[in-house]
Amino acid sequence: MIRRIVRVAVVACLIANCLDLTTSIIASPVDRWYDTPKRAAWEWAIQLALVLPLVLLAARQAPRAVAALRALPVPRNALVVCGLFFALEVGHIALRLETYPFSPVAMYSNAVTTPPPVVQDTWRYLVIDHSKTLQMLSFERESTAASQFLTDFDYRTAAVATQYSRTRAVFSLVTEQLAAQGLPKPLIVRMPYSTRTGVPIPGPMERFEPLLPGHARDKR
Amino acid sequence: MRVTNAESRAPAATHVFARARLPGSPKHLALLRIVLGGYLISVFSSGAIPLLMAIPARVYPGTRSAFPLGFEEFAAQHLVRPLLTVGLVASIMLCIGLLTRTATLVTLVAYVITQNYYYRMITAHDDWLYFTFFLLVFLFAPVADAWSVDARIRPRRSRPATDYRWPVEWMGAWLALLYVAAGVAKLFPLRKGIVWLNGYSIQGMVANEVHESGFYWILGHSAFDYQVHWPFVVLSWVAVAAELSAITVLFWRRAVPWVALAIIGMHASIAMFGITGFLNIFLVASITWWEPKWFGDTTPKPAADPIPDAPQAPNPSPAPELAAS
Repeated sequence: MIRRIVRVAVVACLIANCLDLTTSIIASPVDRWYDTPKRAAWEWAIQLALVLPLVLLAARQAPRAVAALRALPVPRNALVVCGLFFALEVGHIALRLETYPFSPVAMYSNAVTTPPPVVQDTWRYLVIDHSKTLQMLSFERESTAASQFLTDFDYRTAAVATQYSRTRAVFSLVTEQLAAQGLPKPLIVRMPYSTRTGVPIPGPMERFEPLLPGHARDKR
Repeated sequence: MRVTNAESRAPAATHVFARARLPGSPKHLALLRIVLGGYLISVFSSGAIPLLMAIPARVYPGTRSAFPLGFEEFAAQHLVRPLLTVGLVASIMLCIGLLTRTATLVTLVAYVITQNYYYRMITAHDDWLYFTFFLLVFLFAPVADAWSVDARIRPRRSRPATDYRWPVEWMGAWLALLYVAAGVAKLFPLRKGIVWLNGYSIQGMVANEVHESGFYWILGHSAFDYQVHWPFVVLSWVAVAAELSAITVLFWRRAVPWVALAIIGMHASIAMFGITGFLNIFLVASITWWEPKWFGDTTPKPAADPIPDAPQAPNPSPAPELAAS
């Protein structure tokens, strides 16, 4: 049992070493906020040397793996097509390469070295509701059952609306859906808020009215 | 509900190759087809792509596609909008199991092309990462042998019960792979991974999305002081642990409930912090992690197991539901 645990741990370390090398080969867009330190020559040498046992192990296990694949009750066409797709995805994960429809699933894997500022800005839609109260519009909220103002707004539409919030198309869509409920045109404002609480900081807010298509894609 | 002989004799630590040789249930695949078809109906009827076209959005820098750029431009101008309608009809047919093989192929083509456009315009990986492979497996799997129009109107041929198991196990392995990949992307290269675990990445995300978060809707403010650092360190470690834990699904069937709970908890937390969307995808995809025996699979098995840690070889006897019908 102990021998098996040690063996699994050693193989896991060898795979981790290999992944460390392969994920370093191609620069990923998620690296743009953090410049990963370069390896020294001796580190390269040790890590590359440690690839060899893994290759030997893989070569030793290959006949067993092939036999196991052949023993699967899977039609040959399915084995080839689905197996190739699976292998390509594994390759993209190992190289941190995103080429649709393959992905290393690297969303939110960017390294950051500083905390967010205590006060930061965001562009928000403000809506006057039926009780004449100013409300902040959340596209994510509108995509759920907790929706307040918009109808027919699923999470994908919410993602697009968030990313392109200051474009005329999104503004028109929101305006139309509010008008259908008898509510006035929304305001788009740059709003400072506390990152401690999320509460907006009172003061003058910059207003934005999209007149041209294709404005800034970033919501902030 | 009876457990099959092979499953009752199989050790708990069955790996995915061994499980793929166990009998499955046509109802399991049928449920997956119906739920995935229903989900794809919502994808094709979503207003997201029409909104991207109305903006009009441009290709996001840094994104790459396996499609040639010329084809992508042609598709954006002439194919994407009609394919949304074609895909909607095909996914309805897939859902009800009408002309299922053709419907699957058409759905796959429409899905891959329309989601390529969606990805290129907003850069986020979304459900296409999960379900392209599922649809590919559906092309070769008998997904319409139960609970489908096809099964009602056409005589069905009897199949080995393993024909219903390998597709489920492959899709389940794909699902596990994606979560392991997410953990790997956070941790590797290790020099970057160590920095990622400091929690600032999640802290920044949570601070950015505070107004979109469930906590903000309910409380009127953040869940806690988002400038306090240590909770984000804990969340980072827990998130990576939950994602990497998915690898155990490939080797140990009993890990599934714990891994599923960990991932559901992670997605629910992320949704409460402002990123919705992945919980519903996981709930659809995780049907592949359900036990086939929950669907009443009672296929009789031969007596001996040829491989010590692996259950049965393919069983030529038809699934009981089909034999009975």
